[in-house]
Amino acid sequence: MKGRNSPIWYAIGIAVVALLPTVIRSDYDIHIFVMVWIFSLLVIGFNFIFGYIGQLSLGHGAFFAIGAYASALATLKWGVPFWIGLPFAALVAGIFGVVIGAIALRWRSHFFIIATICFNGIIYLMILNWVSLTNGPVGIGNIPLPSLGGMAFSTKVHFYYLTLVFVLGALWFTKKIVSSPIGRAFAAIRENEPLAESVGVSAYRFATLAFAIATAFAGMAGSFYAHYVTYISPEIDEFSIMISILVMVVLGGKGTVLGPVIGAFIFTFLPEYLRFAKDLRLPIFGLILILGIVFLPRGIITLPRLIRSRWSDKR
Amino acid sequence: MFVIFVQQIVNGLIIGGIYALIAVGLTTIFGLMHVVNFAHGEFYMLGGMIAFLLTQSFLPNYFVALVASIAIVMMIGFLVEKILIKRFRVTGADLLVTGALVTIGVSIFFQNTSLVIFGSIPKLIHSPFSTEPLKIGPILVGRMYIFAAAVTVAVILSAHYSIKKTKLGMAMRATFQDKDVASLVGVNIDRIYSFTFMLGAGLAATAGALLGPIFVIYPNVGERVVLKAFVVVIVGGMGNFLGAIFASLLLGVVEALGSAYISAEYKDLIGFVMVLLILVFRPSGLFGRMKRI
Repeated sequence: MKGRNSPIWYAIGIAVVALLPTVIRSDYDIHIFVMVWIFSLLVIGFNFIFGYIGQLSLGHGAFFAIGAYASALATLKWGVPFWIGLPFAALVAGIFGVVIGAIALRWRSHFFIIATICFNGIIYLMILNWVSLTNGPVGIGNIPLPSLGGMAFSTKVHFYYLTLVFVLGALWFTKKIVSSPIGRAFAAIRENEPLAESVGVSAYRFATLAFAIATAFAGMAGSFYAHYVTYISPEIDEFSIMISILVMVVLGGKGTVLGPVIGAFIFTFLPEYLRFAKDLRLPIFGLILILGIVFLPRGIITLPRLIRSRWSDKR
Repeated sequence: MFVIFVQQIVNGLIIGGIYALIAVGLTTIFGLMHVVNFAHGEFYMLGGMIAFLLTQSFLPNYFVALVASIAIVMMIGFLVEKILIKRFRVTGADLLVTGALVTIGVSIFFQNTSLVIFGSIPKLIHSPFSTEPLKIGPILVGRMYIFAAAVTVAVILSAHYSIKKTKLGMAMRATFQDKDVASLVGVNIDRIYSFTFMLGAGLAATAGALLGPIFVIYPNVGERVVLKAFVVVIVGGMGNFLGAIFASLLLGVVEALGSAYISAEYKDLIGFVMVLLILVFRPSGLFGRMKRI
């Protein structure tokens, strides 16, 4: 186990993802990779509330949308550069997260799930109907591309590296948090909330913190999405996005650092490669989700360990 | 002016009755079994779709098709419970979260399989009644609505009665209060879980097939339906049949008045805000006794 955590493996992993664009020539595959990194940011955040605190929020798509709109509107209406829009998106989504989390986290399990669905519905309706701000169902186009020192991030490869840097940063941040006292408090709340409370860990406060981190990440992912695709509409807060987030975290491995990213990778590519199945693509997707929950409840990240223990049992 | 107001109230009550029919199935699965069933809307959709298919093919009589489609969806519900839900109940996994996840998978599967089989064109079942609305004084009510409302009342009352009074209902309540003790005194809890899930699925299918001649059915109609159902179940109190009815009627009337006099765009907001207020001030539901959550 020691070997797997050595810095050499990190270096190899980073080198592989950093060199990928030199191997992949097709623009389309690079595009899918950019989507993988954007989704990774989204699910790394979601993992904080769902994986580490253990509460299922079904309103995470709303914060993605809030970030996308905040960043798009800031750059378009105030003319600020992307580099202001990005932290602004994280801040706005995070503030919404603190307020909504402070209310919804009064409850656990099913009441929390329902409360987050309701907040999601409210935010969706506001995006759809507050036409003077959000342009309603028409959406917002012509969102400017980011630029750095006069050079615009105009190609897909540029975006690949831009988003990759942030994903690596997010992974580093997650690892730091998880191994800090905060991370241990999260785990204590997830495993046994009354016990955690009894030793002085305020579940409410830590859960709200996790929710704020999760939503700020979602806001950042939204900002990247808006400036990459350059067009956003209320559709980005539809339930299908939320389902993708869930599938990625659950089947990747919730409550692990790398699991969500592996999930984002597989479930961004899988639907593309199931295209040969044409119409049956989405039914197959549903079946894979069901089978995954049944047979790999802790996610794909545990697959090597499962195989290894099977193999050593046989001998 | 007053007539318009009364017509709005009547419209609201009609829509509310429809919500009741959809929600009462969820109040058994979500309220009693505590499975956050995201596939509930799909049971509704399948009920409507199958009824449509039957009336178009070998069962042209709507009433026969209605009963047949309910039976088929109950079988589907039976299989979903036996194959998936039971597994998590037995292994003692976190039923709330896993149940939600698995039913989301079931929902994607049914939605998209129906899209492949039935296509995306919205379907409307041919109504067995004349489409000319009934006039009660100056108020207009559709005939199919009256039939749907009558069936709804009958179905809900009999479900309520059988849960409160029959031996099976007693076994159900015992199981959901404490399944270990219930099984200790000889209740076959596997069968109770199966039956409850089938009942919930069947009630959703009843709603789908009854409303098929009024509202169009399409593969992802369930997404809209399931949200209203959750609203009603929370506002009415988990597992409370009569509460669900009152909550539905209340939601229907408030929405109708809200969209007529305040804003049609924000009509759906009312339900969400209602749920949040209920969760803050009366977590046991508007009509539940204040007791443990």
